[in-house]
Amino acid sequence: MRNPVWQFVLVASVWFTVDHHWLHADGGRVCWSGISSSYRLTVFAEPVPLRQGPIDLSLFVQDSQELTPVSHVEATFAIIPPDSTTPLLEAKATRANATSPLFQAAQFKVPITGRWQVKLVVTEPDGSFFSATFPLEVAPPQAPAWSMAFWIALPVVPISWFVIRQLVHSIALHRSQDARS
Amino acid sequence: MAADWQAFWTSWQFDAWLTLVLVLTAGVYLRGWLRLRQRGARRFDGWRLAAFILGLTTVGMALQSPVEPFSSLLLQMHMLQHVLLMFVAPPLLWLADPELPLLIGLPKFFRQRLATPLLRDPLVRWVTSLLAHPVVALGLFIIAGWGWHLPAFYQLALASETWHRVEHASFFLAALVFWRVVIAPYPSRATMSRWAMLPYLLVAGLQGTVFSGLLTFSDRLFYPHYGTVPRLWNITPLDDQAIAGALMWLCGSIAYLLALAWVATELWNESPQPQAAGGHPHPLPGTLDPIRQQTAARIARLRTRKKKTSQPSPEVWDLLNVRFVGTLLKSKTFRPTLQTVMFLLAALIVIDGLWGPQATSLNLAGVTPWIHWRGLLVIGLVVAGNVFCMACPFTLPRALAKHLFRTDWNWPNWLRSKWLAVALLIVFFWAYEAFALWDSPWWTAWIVVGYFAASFAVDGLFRGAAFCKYVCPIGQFNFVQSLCSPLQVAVRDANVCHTCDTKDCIRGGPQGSGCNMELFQPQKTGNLDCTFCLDCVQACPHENVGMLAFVESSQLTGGALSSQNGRWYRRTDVAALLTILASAAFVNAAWMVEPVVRLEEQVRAELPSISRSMFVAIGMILSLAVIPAGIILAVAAVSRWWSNSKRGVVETATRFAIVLVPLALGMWTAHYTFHLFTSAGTLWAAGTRVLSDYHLATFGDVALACACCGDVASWILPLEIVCLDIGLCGSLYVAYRIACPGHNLSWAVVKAWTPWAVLSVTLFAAGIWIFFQPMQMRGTMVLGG
Repeated sequence: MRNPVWQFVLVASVWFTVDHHWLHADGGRVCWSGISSSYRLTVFAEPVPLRQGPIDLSLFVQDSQELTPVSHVEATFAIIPPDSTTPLLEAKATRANATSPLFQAAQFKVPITGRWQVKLVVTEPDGSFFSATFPLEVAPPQAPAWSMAFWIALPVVPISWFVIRQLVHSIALHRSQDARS
Repeated sequence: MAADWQAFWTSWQFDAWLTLVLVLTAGVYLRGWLRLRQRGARRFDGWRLAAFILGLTTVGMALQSPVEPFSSLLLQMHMLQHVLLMFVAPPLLWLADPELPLLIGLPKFFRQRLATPLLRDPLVRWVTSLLAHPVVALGLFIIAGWGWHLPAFYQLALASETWHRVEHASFFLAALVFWRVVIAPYPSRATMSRWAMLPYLLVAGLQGTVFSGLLTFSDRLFYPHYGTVPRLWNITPLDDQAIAGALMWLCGSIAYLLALAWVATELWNESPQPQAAGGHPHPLPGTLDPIRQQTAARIARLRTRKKKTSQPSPEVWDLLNVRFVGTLLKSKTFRPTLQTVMFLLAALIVIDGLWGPQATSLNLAGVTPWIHWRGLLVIGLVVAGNVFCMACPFTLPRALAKHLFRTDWNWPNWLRSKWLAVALLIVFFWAYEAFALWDSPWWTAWIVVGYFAASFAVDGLFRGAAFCKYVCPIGQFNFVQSLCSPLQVAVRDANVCHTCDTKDCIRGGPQGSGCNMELFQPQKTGNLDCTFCLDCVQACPHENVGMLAFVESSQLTGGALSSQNGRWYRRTDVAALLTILASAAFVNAAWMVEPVVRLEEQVRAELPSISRSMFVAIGMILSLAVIPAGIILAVAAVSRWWSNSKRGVVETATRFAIVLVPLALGMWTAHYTFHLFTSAGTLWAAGTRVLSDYHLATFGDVALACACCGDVASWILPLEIVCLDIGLCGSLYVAYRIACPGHNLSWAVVKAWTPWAVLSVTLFAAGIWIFFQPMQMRGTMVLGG
């Protein structure tokens, strides 16, 4: 590590590890699509399937005639729990939360499973607004161990590699011994 | 510009990890390329460097450009991404002949310690030769292409970010394998005649045409996802699919045609006479070009050096050779300075613990030792070695004590073992739980004071460092866990020691006192009992002792002497120490999770006559000593019986007890770093409180908030699991090496190893279970869940 380049690499690696923010996803599955007076609205939800816990709702607004993306409207999502009519959480969808400037995204932490309602309010620059409500089925959360399955199963890779390596080595050794005898 | 195009061009992404990998790869290639150029390798000219950089840029473009976000909306964008990963980036990368520059461009340590052994590994060579076979390469390429484009798998990749990454990785890797056969980059040799490339490329082109034709001309939408997403640019899903097919057809055909032209030109220019490096891409066997000659000479030199001695060669990375750090470590004032700093910190902890408020999270004695010091201690062990003993403040008054007492007694023979330390460790873990030491600054302060008093008395009365070697529980913890540490204080060149008459490293000499722990460097093979005091480094007149990284010693796998320790696998006291510390790693963590706390409450409710301290004492003796000893002996008995070993049960158990050390270190690291990362802010809270007591700062809401436990960051659980993963791999490997010292795999070895592997996996599962339980956030203001 005498070379300053490698020192920089080390520092950069630490920085990346500590400060790295994962990309927000705008993908997932289309959970609602509709047409207002002059817009075509499409809402994506992630993860697929939706589960209790953090979720991502992304809105894509297009001109209903030309199908060109529209960026001058503001949108707010409110999520209403099952068996309730009052929104529990509300968040403004922003482009900063989205990976692509085509989308406006908002993140929520859904506390319980069941059939939630999502209220979408789209406001135009002149103050007029359009709202729509659609259901959102939220499945129970994955078992904690399952959500960490990748990390738990990680040793399988080096162990398998080592076992195969030893077998190959052992077979080669036995063959050479047989040949000698 | 239209809004959609504006959105497209502003949809660049930045994935820090991918960028880091690409930049690092480019840097390594550039370094190797420059070195090869300096050595006169003419074949590595500018266009190869350009091809490599362009290949990496293409990968970056495919995964970070607007193509990526738009790939979920348009199939043609997704197909463009695949084309870049399969037909553009891999050939460009192989045209750069990257293998040699990447190897030479690696830092020396990585090249010699990781890359070279890996490339020499028989399995790696076998896999590489298998993948170089045209049939295998073509098969993989076709399977990856067709498999992932089956609607079910394609939909899966579109729905899940993880599978999407797996899809891209498999495309890229399969394409790398495929194009390597076509381009046959230097210095690889083709396994078949170059004429075989003609049918190879023909078959690849044919299957690509069939697939592209299906996409282009079908009137059925293959991937329903694209039928549900909003349409851009008024393109219908079927048109989008047709364009995607045409794109693949066109780009694939161009790539195959160019490859055919490349191969044809090669065959056309093929000359029967071998040429010098740079002139011919495939030198004939027996005709070494300058690079090969240099490499062969270097390998020969290394082999000769290895034959001379089994000790670390000068090629081993030595921390003491690092500029500034090495000078600092070797300085005679470094350790006393470090110890003084730690002494002052300990004094602060004692003062605050005894006279400060007894609010754990606001008292230095309540947070510093139990959250910060323990966390940093295990990090130090994992990344370096026994750095705490190096900075230990308890040994600072040793010289004063020796001066005051003026006695030089020998440590009693009957105490010259680890049994006393084992007993003290059990007492400590009992006291920790029974009196909730972590929740009592007052008790914590008295423990520190007691430590100073014990160290002062023992080292003042007895010769050497008896306290460190036979008494100190913290020292024993560090000695055992540092068996897995990367650094080791060891001799640089064994030949120098053979000619040394003075043995100053143990006896002491004009340059410094010898080892107080009675470790003789030429015989020392591990970190057991080594305090990293570096007295031997200073005493050695030949400057032949260093802090070496990854020394190939048998410290974990048994057999060798460890200086004055004797053969550890014959010492039941060492085995007991290893067992206690391994079981304590799990018991200590388990005792703070909700189900265990609830179980304790239930059992105590059933036994009201037993006090809590008595209950904890019984629990600790059972869980740290009796049950682990029983399990270890039972596993040893099974291992011995199954493998028909002639060793006794106790000897087998003693021999294999060290297997649990890596797993235990994984557990300790996961546990202590959990507290460090979740409650690091308590230092700010307690520090501000102390300063505010002396009117040097204001204790506000921010500091108070730091005293509370916050949300556990999402990366902490994976980090904990990875710690245990590494521990499990280490334990399984150590068990294998002990079962199979001669590297000759047999059924007897498997039978001897399997019981220990089962035990390791069971402990791993127990550790995972503990991680998933609600844990007490000890040392912070809020308890529970």
